[in-house]
Amino acid sequence: MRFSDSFTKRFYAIVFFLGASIAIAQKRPELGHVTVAELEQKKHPKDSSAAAAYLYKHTKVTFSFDAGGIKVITDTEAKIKVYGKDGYDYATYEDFYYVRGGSISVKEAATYNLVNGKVEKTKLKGESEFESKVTKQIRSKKFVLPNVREGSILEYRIVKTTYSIGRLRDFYFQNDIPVDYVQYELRLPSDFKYSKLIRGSLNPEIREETITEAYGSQVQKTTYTLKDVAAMKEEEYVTNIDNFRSHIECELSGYTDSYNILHRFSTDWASVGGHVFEDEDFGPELKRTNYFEEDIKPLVDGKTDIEKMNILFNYVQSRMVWNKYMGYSCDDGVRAAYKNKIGNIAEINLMLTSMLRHSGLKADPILLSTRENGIYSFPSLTAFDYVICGVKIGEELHLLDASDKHAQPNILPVRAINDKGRLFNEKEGSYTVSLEPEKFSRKMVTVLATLTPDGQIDGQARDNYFEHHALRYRDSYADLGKELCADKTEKRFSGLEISDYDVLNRDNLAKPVTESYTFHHSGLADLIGDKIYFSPMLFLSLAKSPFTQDKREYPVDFVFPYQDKYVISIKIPDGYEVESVPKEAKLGMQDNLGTFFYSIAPQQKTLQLTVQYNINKAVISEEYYEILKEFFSQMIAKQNEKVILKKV
Amino acid sequence: MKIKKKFLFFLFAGALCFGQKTEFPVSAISADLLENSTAVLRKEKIEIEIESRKSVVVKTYRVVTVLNEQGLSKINASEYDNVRSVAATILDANGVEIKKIKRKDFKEVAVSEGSVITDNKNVFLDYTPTQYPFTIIYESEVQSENTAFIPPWIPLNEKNMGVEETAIVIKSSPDLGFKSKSYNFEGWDVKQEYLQDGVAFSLSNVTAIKDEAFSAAPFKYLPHAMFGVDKFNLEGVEGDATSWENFSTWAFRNLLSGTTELSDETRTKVKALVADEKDPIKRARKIYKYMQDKTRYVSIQLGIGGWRPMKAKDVDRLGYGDCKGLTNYMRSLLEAADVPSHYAIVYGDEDKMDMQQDFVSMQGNHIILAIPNGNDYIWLECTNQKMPFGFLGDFTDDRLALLVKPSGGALVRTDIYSDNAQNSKGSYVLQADGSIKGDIEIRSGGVQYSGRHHLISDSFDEKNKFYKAYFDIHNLKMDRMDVAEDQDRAEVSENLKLNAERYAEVRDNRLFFQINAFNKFSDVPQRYKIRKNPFEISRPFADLDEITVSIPDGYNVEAKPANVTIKEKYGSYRLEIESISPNQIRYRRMFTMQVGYYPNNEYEGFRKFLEQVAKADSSKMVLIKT
Repeated sequence: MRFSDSFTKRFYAIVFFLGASIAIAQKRPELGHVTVAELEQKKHPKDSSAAAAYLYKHTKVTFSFDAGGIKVITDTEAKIKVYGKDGYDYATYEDFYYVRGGSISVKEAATYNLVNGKVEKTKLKGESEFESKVTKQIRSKKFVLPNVREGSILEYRIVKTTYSIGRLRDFYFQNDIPVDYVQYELRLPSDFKYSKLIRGSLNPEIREETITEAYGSQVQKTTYTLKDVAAMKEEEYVTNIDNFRSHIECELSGYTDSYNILHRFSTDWASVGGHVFEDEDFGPELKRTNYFEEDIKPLVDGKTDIEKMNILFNYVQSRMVWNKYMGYSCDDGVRAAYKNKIGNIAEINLMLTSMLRHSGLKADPILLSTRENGIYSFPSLTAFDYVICGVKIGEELHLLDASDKHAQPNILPVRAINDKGRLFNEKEGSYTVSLEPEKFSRKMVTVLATLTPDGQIDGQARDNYFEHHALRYRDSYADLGKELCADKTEKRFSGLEISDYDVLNRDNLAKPVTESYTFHHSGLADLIGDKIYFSPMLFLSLAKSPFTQDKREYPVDFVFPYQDKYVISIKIPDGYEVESVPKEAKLGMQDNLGTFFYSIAPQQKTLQLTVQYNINKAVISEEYYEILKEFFSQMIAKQNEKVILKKV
Repeated sequence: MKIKKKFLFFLFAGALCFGQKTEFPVSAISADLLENSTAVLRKEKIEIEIESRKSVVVKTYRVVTVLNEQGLSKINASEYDNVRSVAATILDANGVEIKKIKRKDFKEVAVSEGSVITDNKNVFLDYTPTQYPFTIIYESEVQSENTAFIPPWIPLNEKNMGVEETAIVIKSSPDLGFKSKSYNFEGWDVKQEYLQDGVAFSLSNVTAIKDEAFSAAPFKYLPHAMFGVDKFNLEGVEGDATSWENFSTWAFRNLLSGTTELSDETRTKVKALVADEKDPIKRARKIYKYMQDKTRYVSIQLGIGGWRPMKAKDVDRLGYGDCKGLTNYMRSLLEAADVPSHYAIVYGDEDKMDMQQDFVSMQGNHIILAIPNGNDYIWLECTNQKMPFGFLGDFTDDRLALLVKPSGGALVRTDIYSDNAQNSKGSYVLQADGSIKGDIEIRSGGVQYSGRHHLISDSFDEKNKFYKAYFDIHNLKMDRMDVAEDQDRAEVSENLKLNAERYAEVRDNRLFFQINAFNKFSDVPQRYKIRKNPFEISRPFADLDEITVSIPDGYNVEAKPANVTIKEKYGSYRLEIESISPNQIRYRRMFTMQVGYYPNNEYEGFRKFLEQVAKADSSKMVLIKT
């Protein structure tokens, strides 16, 4: 049954594939041809749960020259079918543009409905277009399509212009609703060179041709076409869904001037490196040293390299406040930032880099793209929005980000942990650096508890958080008084009552955070007949698996690998003896991605439980999803197994 | 893209040369005000002068010590309208001045009003501190021509902020009919002074208000005061707030006049739609559906101060509007079908906030529609395309709304949902390997209906996700998720089939499992050593479950949980487990909560009640192999 089923599917896939390429070769659809059949359609034929779908989307990018310089014109046509009320969101369009040289204009927009068996068109009028100032530089253009109902078809054509030609706006073939037909058409003047990269798992059909326009200018036309693109929606444990949606990125790599000389931009890492150090807000800022020399000399004199790194990291981290601005270029410059004790990412981390260099260490800037910004793809500067510092001591490269008050050497704030970064050196060039933490972060929990005959549990807990676990604790418990800390921990575990809460080393980053408290819980043990049943992990067992979905389309991102260890000892009440305890268990995940160990040793009046689980890789590919899900399921079942006590 | 931010240099020189004057050192704050605080309000003085019907000036002087990053938002340095002046000074922990911030260093954003960009600006401070704690002295003066809204006094508006001293003085030009009304002053040491055409209130040394579970709505227990004038101005239109009736008449004439006109075509369409219907309510029901299918909610602020609705014929043509536009459109459609209805102003919020009976002024933030039905009203929420006719949900239930009418306008209470029932009936079969297979039908009404209503339009994936989070069952697989609704009864029914591996723990020759598989209460609220806030159960509910459990062949019940009955004033709980055949057990569970408002010292009793419910809900059953 199953075999033949999947065989049929495969067979159809081939047929569809052939069918698709024939269809794509045909002329692309146009706006203004809405049929009764389209309006009558109640559900998307391939995705019955879709609230809306792009029947057609076409974006054409052309270039023109005017007094202001070179302009990029993006002309988009879209035809959207609304199936349900949740699809109404697509009838409101909003986008932003730069006041200087930018514009967005709505060329045509209309809603089509079926009225008495006929197609009725309602055009968008000026009254439904809204323009507003967002900041001095940025404006927003919004329009609200009229007369939208379930079943409506929406059409619009929008033309955007901008003078920023370095990086074209990424074009998404894939969306959170299905896309039936999508085409991206690039018309590049032949003297412009763009690097293009297609991301995601789909392969658009690509056609290229050279066309000669009026006045004899040559234009390179490339079209990218896809049909039947399924919707991709967001799930838990994902950094940035846009990384995985099918899209194209285009980056200006060079141009030929009127003397026919080719000027290259960032087409390879060497030229990217050249450009970054030439940038007046980067290279020269990194070279400045006189503003800090006197201050740091007494700190680092006579110290080892490791000591110097730690001392200077702490010095910059405690002196500087991050003003929440990202970027790898300085705004006010390192000197002013140093003096005012406030700066952006570049100012703080370039300052640190030059201090380390000045003290004789091999330190270099590492450019990266934050989680919010997505994963970068090809040699280019525009892909980056952040800079940290890399220090090579011996064979080891240490990663430093002094902008975060709770970061440590090699413990970067989560925003900066995104796949890979690129280390740049003025003389030696650049290389790729993995930002994914490789060493696991540890958590150790020790509990001493006593069970009473009426099923109450009292005890003391002591939690030690190391590395990223410590960073996470410090971030979420920052600035809270002890009472609020206790409240917060109580909230994490339903029914837990905490007293005598204390925390050590919250501000001493060099040491692990130690949280300790006395607790009481009355809802953990079941008294049934003359027996007591309870899970020896008490309130610390994982209640529910985070992985409940049937399939996964992109990797699971744990941010960092970890090791959690629990040592729990429970004194059983007088008058009871142990009837049964859960068996020892060891679980392992394929390719050593995770391990789980559970062991319980009943001694006379005390149970001694040891539980340890590791997730050994920060990012686990979606191919392992089933395995990961099963691992969590078994681990959770084990964590919730019961000890049985019997009345003597 | 690189965003440049230019920093303005400032000089330390001044601070170094002159003798330093220190104010507001952090050391002067008493320990109890620091407790649970992320910032402390050192001194606040708000002076409001209603100069004339067309001008009110608000001067603010506020000193806040910010203890850490969480407290940064409590500076509250943000102004709208005509900002005459704004400035700030930053002091270090010792009270030594470290920085002055002038008007030009404040950020400014234009406030857009639909397609028109107005002159109204939002001016706000965007300051990144270089050290904590620090103190900021903030001063502003703002003028507005709208005297319809005089800012209320809410001295304890911010949580986690201790207050040293806060005061308000408000003066009005005579003959405008100045009025004030205070709430919850008793129990708080508010100094009060009543002036000719004005008042002065102040409050000092109040410890920080904490966020606590089940806290009553802040307006129910924290001191605050409202102010207003009988003769006000709203965007150039003069108004009268001497009584709700007068106010209602004014609003009808000035906000609603000339807005209900419809095209002949639409009028004809509406008439045809209800041609066979004599009963006005049945007519309204049909028209409501028509309106829901034709329109959608879009937030737009147009017309006087955002208070006048879009014209009905525009909503008709465009098919969208905000709450005012859509409600008024519905009113116009009903008018075309000779069904009278009233535009009604309310506060839309999960907390039930009344329009104040004894304080007539511009209030509320949402519009609904009232259709007279005998001595009662049928209420319509017009911004939701999926709500059943006559259903409001918990956004506008049980509160006073103002009917806007040509004459005889008054405050009327909206519908109260007292029967928020959820009935579950079903069964599950337990296998010897610990797995279960189950069927269940869940019917939800009242506000429980609101909570489940999204399931009607949710996609397969969304439903799947919802149930996996909703049921307390590991490894859950949903085999059927049929959801339907009965719009007339405002009831959602879910018809579900599910299975799960490892539901019961298999140990040697025994099986352990939680008998209540489908409706487990586990959210025991937090315990507080010292509970500060009063607490409130704002809506009642009643859950009733009846589930039959089949146990595997060859097993007997070794132990079953005792039946539980708990009765408290907060609510009641009952769990009854009985064998109905050798291999079938039935459990009946009833959990209800009553509406109530209780002082802080009763919280622990309430928490204990819920703790007992959670415990009973997790009762385990033990089966043994025969």
